[in-house]
Order: sequence, then structure tokens, then C-alpha cells
Amino acid sequence: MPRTRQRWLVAAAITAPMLALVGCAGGGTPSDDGTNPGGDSGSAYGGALGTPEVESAMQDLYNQATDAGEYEITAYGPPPAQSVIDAFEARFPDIEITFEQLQSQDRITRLQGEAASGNHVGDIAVDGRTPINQMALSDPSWCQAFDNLTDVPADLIGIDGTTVNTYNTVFGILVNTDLVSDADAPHSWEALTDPKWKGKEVMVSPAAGGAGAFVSAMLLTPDANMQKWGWDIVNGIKANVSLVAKDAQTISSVVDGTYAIGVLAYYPYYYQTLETTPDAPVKFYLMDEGTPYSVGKQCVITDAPHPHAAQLWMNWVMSKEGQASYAAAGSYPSMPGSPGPKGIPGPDDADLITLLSDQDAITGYSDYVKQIQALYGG
Amino acid sequence: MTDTSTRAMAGWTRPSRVSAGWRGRRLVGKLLMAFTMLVLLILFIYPPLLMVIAAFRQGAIAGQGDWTIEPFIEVMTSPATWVVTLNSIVLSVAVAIIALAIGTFLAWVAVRTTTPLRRIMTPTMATILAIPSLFYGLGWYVTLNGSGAPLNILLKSLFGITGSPFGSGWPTLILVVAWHVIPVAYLFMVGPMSRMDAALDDAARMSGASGGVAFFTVVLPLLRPTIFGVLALMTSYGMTAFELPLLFGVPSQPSILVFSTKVLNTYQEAVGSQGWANYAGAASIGLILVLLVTILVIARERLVSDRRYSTISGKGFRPEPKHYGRIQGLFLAVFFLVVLLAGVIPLVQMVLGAFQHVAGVYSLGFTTENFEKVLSSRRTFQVIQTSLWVAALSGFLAAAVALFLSWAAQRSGRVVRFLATVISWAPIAIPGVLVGLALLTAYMPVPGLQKLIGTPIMLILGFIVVATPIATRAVEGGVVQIATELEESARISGASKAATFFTVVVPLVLPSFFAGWFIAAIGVAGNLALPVLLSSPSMRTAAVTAYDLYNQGNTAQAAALFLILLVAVGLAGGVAWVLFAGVTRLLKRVRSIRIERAITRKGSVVHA
Repeated sequence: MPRTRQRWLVAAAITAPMLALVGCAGGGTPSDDGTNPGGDSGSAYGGALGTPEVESAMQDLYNQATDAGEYEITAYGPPPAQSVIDAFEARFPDIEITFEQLQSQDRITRLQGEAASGNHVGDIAVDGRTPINQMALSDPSWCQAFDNLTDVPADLIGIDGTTVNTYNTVFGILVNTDLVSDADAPHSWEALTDPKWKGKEVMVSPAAGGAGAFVSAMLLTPDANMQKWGWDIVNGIKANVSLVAKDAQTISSVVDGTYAIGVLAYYPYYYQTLETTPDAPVKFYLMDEGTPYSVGKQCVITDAPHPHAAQLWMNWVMSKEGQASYAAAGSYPSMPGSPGPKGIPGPDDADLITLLSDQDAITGYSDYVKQIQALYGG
Repeated sequence: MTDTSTRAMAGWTRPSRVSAGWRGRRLVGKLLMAFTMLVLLILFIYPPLLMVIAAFRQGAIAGQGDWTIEPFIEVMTSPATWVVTLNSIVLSVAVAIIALAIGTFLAWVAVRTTTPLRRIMTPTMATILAIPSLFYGLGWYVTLNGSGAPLNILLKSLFGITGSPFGSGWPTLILVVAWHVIPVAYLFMVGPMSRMDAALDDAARMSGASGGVAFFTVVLPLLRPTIFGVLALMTSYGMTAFELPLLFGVPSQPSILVFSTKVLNTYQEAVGSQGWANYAGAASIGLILVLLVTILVIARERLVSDRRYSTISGKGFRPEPKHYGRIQGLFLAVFFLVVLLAGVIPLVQMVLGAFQHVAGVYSLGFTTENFEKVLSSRRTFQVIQTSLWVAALSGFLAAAVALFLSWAAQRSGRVVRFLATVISWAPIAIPGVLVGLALLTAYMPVPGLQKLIGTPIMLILGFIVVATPIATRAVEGGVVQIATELEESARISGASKAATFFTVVVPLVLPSFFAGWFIAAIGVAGNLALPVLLSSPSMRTAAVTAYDLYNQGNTAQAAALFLILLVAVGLAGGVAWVLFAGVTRLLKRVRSIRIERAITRKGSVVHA
């Protein structure tokens, strides 16, 4: 047999089984039988989503989506934990949601491109409150009205009924329990500036474009925060911390004992670590006062190609099940009365830092962010 | 003087006022060239040009809004801008020199010596190049940082040194980045190096020069176009390096921050009453990169334009390797060291990370659940499949455009040469973090391109634009080595320009073409900025998916996904290598048959 043909056969013999192995990954095409996962009755979700009226309305919306051939949702923004996505798709198996990590200006530019080309793809925008508010306030607005089927309180809906505060995520202090006892662990901003922790604290660098600068800016505005904490705390923390490039490294370097204390540790990352390694020698603390947090918002994009499916996602996120899914993944649900993530006080019991209003937050943190980046050499 | 009737009887016709070069097929050729250049100008020049304009406009959309000079003044008068610029220049020059020196040396060893195992050097370097920079960086990060890092455990046990003394800082940053790009330099140089005529080297040796002297005075000067092209490319890409300086520069005391970080931070600032992104400020910083690239390109043109570099001259051309004695053992040792530093260490760390609960943390043990999660995801097969075909197709097309530009630059007049040079360098002037945005905002108003936004075609076009500068640096070195006499011989024998190009130029430039194709494909496979902005969710690539996982804190899963992708790339590369050998053999066979037929054809000298 010629050597050339031998090489082809060898290549094919190796390639085919490998491709088959990869091809065995997943599957999951939309079901074709169009069965209603809710069954025949209007409350066949068993109360998982809310009251019978809420569940009936959501079932109708689900049927409208599938009748219109809306089997997918494209969300522009950082995705939630996979468990949240899995929970939605388990509840509504004919609809698949995909996240594209577009943020802020990139998202708006992409939507401009879609509008110019007529190829509309984005259905949902997900991000912090400022960029979503900016989208809604644009002229023309990039967000359409939210179809409130889940009795979301009015204070969670903003900008002419288009944006919804869906969940919040907190930052706190992560402590390696092998190196620091519960009694010694710092629980406040002032405690983090104690010189005894110099060289033992780690934080994501504010100069590297991460959450470090933005969260630190919360200590400087509004005026009440500036007076209570201000630059003394910011400078005091800077004197004590070593820096890493990414939020995830704050967690991993405390877990492996390189540092004893992680400052501005992102709770969802800590939560994921615990999910995979319950025996990790770490503990998460909220601040006694002024726990910083990020407000999560979403909106249904104007000209969304799958509007019914998009409204269904938004309503599911705000339903009992959706909020519980976010809590189970380490986020604070925004709906009143929802339980918080495991291991930390719920949203009603935590002392959260005072934030600027939605309107003021659009530009109110910017100058402070720049000053903090400059402080760290950015 | 003859009268009209006499001229008519003699069949004389009045000569055309249009010269021969602008008539008939030549005119068609010129129009075709003009149209091609126009399309390339729109695709390649327009985005960076718009970025320059956008530095002076502020509004909701990048490049639109009110004219203003304030963002430009603000960033140019900020000391931080110049500190990060200087940091990036120092980093990129140091890395370029180190990587090019070692890469060129290893390319010479692989094709000009009889060092053992030289035949595996190119596939090994190609495999190392496939390691994504993110995981290359993370691999070295966990090797050098933390109490569980292997190096720190060794230092503590042997010398009692605690902490992470080599975890960050200038020496670590420069060396880690340099090791990462040595394979790039190697692959750029191996094509032209393989086409060096041994007779040139022999002539120097016969005149009394030692091997080393011949290398530095004959071989290297003839590779000047490629060397300076690659040097300029690496220097400019060093300005856009992001992940590696983040990992090894930020933790340093004081932090070493680079140009791309400043661009990103500026872009994320909120400006105006509506909190628009500060694209004008970011684009203003980008002007520094435009200036730098312009200086590099002008310097390169000045340095290489004064002489010929053809080494493939026809009959008697012998690109044969030589034996250099026992010193070849040292050559092999250098190769093994580079493989260890650039490939083995980060790859082993990536493999371990894929099996850890938290990547880089050994104390929590190992698990297979990362692979289970990745392989059970319905998207895994799609993203790998998309990554492979998008990278292969975009890389090929970029290499083809690069070949066209290189050949046009060498064989055409000054205008085309100038345009080809500008086109092949222009996309590099856009900072990496802005390139997706720059392309999208540039193409949005263009009627033909507008409708393609969101489609796979737009993504492929974007990748071609971004990858062509890389591919051109690989291919042009091969093109300049071809003596014009070879093409002229074919034309004199009756071959058309197209036939000459495909039967003479292409076979001779194939090694450089394949190198350019491969390097461009790797660059496309690892690109993060373009897929989300220019295309649709169905075109999601493995690089984007893995980066998302990494940003969400699932570094171990991201490592698992990349390992699977690496296996797929290795297999695809193996198939490609087999194809390359087959195509080369086929072309040789076709050429032999054509020569045989020409010789034995009725009417030929031999037949008669």
C-alpha cells in the first residue's frame, strides 16, 4: 500500500473516533412534540413559579413563544451560573438561552449594527444597572416595556417600565481559616486597614480594569459614605494589600493559603468554590457595615426577534423559582421575601452600603474610579 | 513624405494615442488590480482611519457625535499614558529581540543543519503555538506564584526562600512573554530559511569564513526583509499584549501596567451627561500606536529597499542542510530548553489545572468533573467545530491575501507597492481591545457590508483583516527570495501572468505560505474581540467560551475545554501536515509530467 494512502488511513482512523467522542457531548435539540411541560392544568408547575394566576400567565406566554417558533433566546451580557440556565431550560425545555459577553458600549454598537443590517439577534440585555439604564434612556430606547406577569414591585422596575432589577451580588471578606481564627478575622472596613494585616491581604488590582476600582469608589460617594469611610480607608487598604490581576485569583490565593485575607472577594466565586470543594479552609464574611454590592438589571431589547420567549425569561427570573436559582448560585435575589444565598445573611438582614440613585450612578462614580485607578498606577 | 493613398495601400493604420500598457488585456488587468485594491482599502484602511477620526468625536456611538479635542488633550497630558506606553515599548522590544534571535537560530538549525530530531522541530513549534496565551500565562502563573507553586516549594526546601520571588516583575514578565513568542518567530523564519541556496553559504566558506561568520554575514543579511518585518510586527503586537502583562505585571511592586490596559480602562470610563463610553479617549491613545507602527514600517522600508534578496535562482539552487559536528548536540539542547519553557511547563500546568477543583490549587485534590461538565454541554461540539473551520478558512484566505499583497508589492509599480504595504500594516495600528469595535463601526455605513453584519461572512472578513498582517510577515519573506528571472523565463516561454504565478511562484513560496496560514489560523482561533461583535451566537468559538468560563471563575473548566480543543487542533494539524506533503508531492509530479510532455511532444527539439 502506498505510504501516502497509509497516512490518510491513519489520520482518518485517529480523527473519526475523536470527533465521535466530542460529538457525544450534549445534544439537546428542541423537542418536536410540542408538549406543554405544565401539563393540562393552569397550575401544573406546582407553585414553583408563584401563584396559580402567575403560573397560568407564564404558561400562556410559553405557548405563545413556541407557537411563534421562538425556540431560542440570545442574551447580551455576563451569564449567570450554569445552574440558573439549566433550571430555566428544565422548566421550559423547548427554549434555549445563550449568553454573549457583550457589555456597555460593545452591546450598543452591536445593536446599532443589527439595526443597520436588519439582522436582529439580541433578545435580552443583562448587566449592572448603569449600562442597562443607559440603554433604556437612549433615544430611541433600546429596551421595550416589561410584561409584568410575576407581580414585580414597582420599585424594582425602572425607566418607563423597561428595566428590571433582577438580582444583586455582594463583595465581602474571604478568610483562610487555617491562618486566621474566627475571632481575629476582620469584619469591617476599618479592621482591614490594621497594620497587622500588612502583606497578608490580597485584592484584585483596581488599575487592571476590574471591579476593584468601582467597588472602592463606593466608599467615596455619596457624601455619607465619604464621611464615614472615604480616602482614609482606601489608602489604608492600599497600604496592606498585595494585588492580583483577576477576581478569581483573589479566591484561589486565599484558598491555597498564599494570603490569609481576600479583600473585595466576589461572593459567587466563593460560592462556586464551595460547591466543588466543601472542605476548602475558607470562610466568607459580609461587612458589619456597608457591604458593597452590584445591582443586576435586565431588559427586553427593542426589536427582539423572540419577544415572547424573552418576556418569559424575564418573568421566570423574577419568579419564585428563578430567584431561588440565583440565590442557589450565590446571588442576592431582589424580590422581597426571597431567601438569600446559603451561609450569609439575607438581603433584609445584611447592612448594604448606600449607593447613588439610578440616575446619579450613570456618571457619579466615574471620577472616583479614575482617581482610584491612578492611585494604583493606572 | 508618403501620402494617404500610399499608406492605405501599405495597410498602415494610425497608431493609437493610448499606450500599449493601457490597452486590451493589460487594461483589463490594471482595472482588476485597481478594483481589488479598492476593496482591500475599504476593508483594511477604513477602520483605522475611522479610529483616528473617532479620537476627535464624542457621542453615544463610537466615531459619531460632536467634534472635540478635549479627550485627546486629556489623555496626551496624562503622565500615566506615557508611563504605560514606555512600559509597553520596553516590553515589546525586549521580547521581540529575544524571541527573534532564538527563533531564527532554531529555524536555521532545523533546515540548514543535520542536527538529530530536526524534522520534529517545526511540528513541535507549531504545537506549542497552539497553546492559548491565556493558559500559557496561567500555567506559568501557578508555577511561579503562591505557596503551592512548584518553584517556590523548591526554593523553600533548598534555600529557605519564602514567598514568590520570581512571581512577577520585569525579568519574569519579559522572559515569560519572550518564551511564548519564540515559536512564532521560528515559524516566520523557517520558510525563508529553507529557501536559502547552500551555494551562497559555500561561497563564503570557500573564501575562508567560518560557519559563524558565514551565518552572520551571508545568511542573516539575506533574511533582512523577514527579520525586520517580524521585528516590527512583534514590537507592535507587544503594544497590544494584555493577559500576560496582567498576570505578571500587575502583582509587581510597583505594578507594571501596559498600553492595552490603559486603552481598556479609558474606554470603560463614563463621559458626558449620559455616561457614554470614552471611545474618543481610547482612540486618542490608539493614535500613539498608529504613530509607532508608521515609524516601524518606514524604518523597515528604508532598511530593506536598497538591495535584492533573491536566493532562489533556478538551476543549481540547492537548499541542502550541512553537518556541523558535535556542536549540534548543543543545538539540540537549546531546542529542548525552549520546548520545556514554552511548551511543556505551561501545558503540564494546564493539564493539571483541568483536573483540579480550583485551577492552580493542589491542596484540594483532583477530579474529572470539569471534563464531565464540558463534554456534557451541548455547545462543546459546536464551538470546537466552529473554531476549527473558521480558523482554517480565515487563515487560508488571510494567507492568500498576504501572498497577493506581497507579490504585488514586489512586482508592481510604486503606487501599488505603496498601497500594498499600507494595507498589510494598517490593521495593526488598531489596539487589540478596540479592533472589534473599530471594524463594526467602520463597516456599518458601507452599503454592501452593512447587510453582512451578524452573518458568518462578516466574521470571516473581520478575521481576514486582522490576520493578514501576520500572514504577510510570513509570506513576504518567501516572495522576495524568488528571483524575477524565474518568472520572466516562464513569461518568455509563453505562460500568462496567472499561469506563471500558479506554476512558478506558488510552489516556491509554499513553505512560507503554509507557515503564514498556520500562524494566522492560530491567531484567529484565539481571537476574543471579533466573534461576539461581528457575528451571531451560532458562530461562538472555543476561545470565547473558555474566556467566559475563566471570567466567571471556572478556570478549571476552561482548561478542560482548551485541552479538548488542543487535541482537535493537533489532529487537524496532523491531517493538514499529511495534506501538505501530499500536495507538495502532487505539484512536483504534475511539473515533471508537464516537462516530460513538453520534451516529448511532436515538434519539440528532442522529438525531432
